[in-house]
Amino acid sequence: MTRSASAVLAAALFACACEAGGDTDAAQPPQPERGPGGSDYVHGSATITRYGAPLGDAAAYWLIEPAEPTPAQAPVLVYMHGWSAFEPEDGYEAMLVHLARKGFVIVFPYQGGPLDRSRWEGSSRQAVQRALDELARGAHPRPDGHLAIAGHSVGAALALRMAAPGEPAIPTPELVVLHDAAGRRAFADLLSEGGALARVPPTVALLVMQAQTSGPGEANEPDSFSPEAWEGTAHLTRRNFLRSYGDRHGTPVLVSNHNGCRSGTSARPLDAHDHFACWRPTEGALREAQGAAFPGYSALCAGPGPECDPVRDHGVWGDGVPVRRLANAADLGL
Amino acid sequence: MTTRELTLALREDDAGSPRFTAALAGERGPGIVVIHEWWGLNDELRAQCARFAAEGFVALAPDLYDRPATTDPAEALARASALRTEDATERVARCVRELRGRGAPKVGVTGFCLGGAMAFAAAASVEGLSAAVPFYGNARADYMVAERMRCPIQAHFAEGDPFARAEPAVGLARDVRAAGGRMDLFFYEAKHAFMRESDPDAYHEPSATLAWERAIAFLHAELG
Repeated sequence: MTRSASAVLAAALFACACEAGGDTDAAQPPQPERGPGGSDYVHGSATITRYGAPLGDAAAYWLIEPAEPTPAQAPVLVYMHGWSAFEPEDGYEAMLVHLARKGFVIVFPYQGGPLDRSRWEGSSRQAVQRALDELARGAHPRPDGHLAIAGHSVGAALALRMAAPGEPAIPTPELVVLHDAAGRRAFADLLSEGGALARVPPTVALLVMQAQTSGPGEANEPDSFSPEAWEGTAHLTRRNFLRSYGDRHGTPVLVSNHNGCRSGTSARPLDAHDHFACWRPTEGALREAQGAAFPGYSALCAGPGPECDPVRDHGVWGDGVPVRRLANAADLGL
Repeated sequence: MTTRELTLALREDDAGSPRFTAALAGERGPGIVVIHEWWGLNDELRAQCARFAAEGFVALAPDLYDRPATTDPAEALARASALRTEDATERVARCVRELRGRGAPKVGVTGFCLGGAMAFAAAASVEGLSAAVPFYGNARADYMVAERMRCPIQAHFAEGDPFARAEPAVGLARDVRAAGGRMDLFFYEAKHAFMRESDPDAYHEPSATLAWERAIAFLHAELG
């Protein structure tokens, strides 16, 4: 045996911005003070609560809810974790707490474990059902009728599947956000099974976000589900494809890889990539799908013109040099 | 000591039953079903069977994939995640019956990575097991339930293993003990797959040696 699973997958799961030194000492742009991805929080904190026991309950889930103050109503985001993840602390908590403090209730389903993939979608749907029941009955912000589904890696592919009608039934989301959907080499038919993509209702908006490098090994486009997700959803009228890039101009350098949106851990501290390439488009798209877009910002702006520059913007290094911008669908020739 | 290949009918009383391959090592003694990692039934696993045989056990390792082992992680992930736990434990159950038929007074189960997960699942669902020794694996959630466990368990995990998280096993051990059962849980300062001797990146000799000694002592105590 010449290849080590632990080495290969550890590289994929915990790839970090280890190359700290860039071309200059210019600092990364700070988190925006306002707007999508910004620090203008309307809630002082977020609560994280587990419902059900993942060790004995495949349909367990976590709720991440806005607090201080607790709103009477809130939009709901379902977030699907990547393969082998277990709980929000596995690199998702910072982003999800950010979104909760902006007013969203997040449902984080436990998908049932890394094995028996045929059960992942069903377990997740069941967990979402339970979570929506809990939100409707318990001491929580009541769902305000807006629902979105996002996910990372293979969880992103599952998120798109869950936007199509299926069993157990869950409400159709207004929006699906894919954070570096990958896993194609291992789960080649995951998106195509049952004609799922064609069955996603045309009312659903879609934001496909792809890192510069994607999947185990970080250099294998064939592992990405993003092109298939894009090609299979041409019937959706509101969609965009965003690609982020690394930038070595300043220090620490910015890395755009498979776990670019899975940060806030000792292995991968938060950085400007989170704020500009993950949190901002995601939060912007969520608000846009609710009909409450941030003024002047459209995450779904897919055209070539300057009106889409806000979604391309990645901030400015400390010496005034712009960070390499995101590319949208038009920039990528899609 | 080497292994030899058997072809087993999944259901002994059904002429049309599907068949699968299993590697056998040892002639006489208590039985141990050894379940492979996500790679499949490879030479590493056959070597483990031979080691069990050298300790006085009859080891039988089912091929859960019906395909030659792979060295490609993506292929291994595809195979492992597509495997239905029910199909795997059905083969473990058949191996238990085979070992009993060959004279084993008692039979245990062990496994590594995917096999560790399936060892837990077998402990929860397979009749005739007297001990289970999972290495760094967790079964599907509905199997990791104290009330379902049918035999004493000794489980081994690497600290901070991102692939085989300790939380489910920790909770299971607590519940098993609360219910009056036995589940020993050991942690090692090593990486996932620290028993994999053929992999210098994963293998951790001090941990592997200690875990092996614990496992053999436990299995002799429980199986004779």
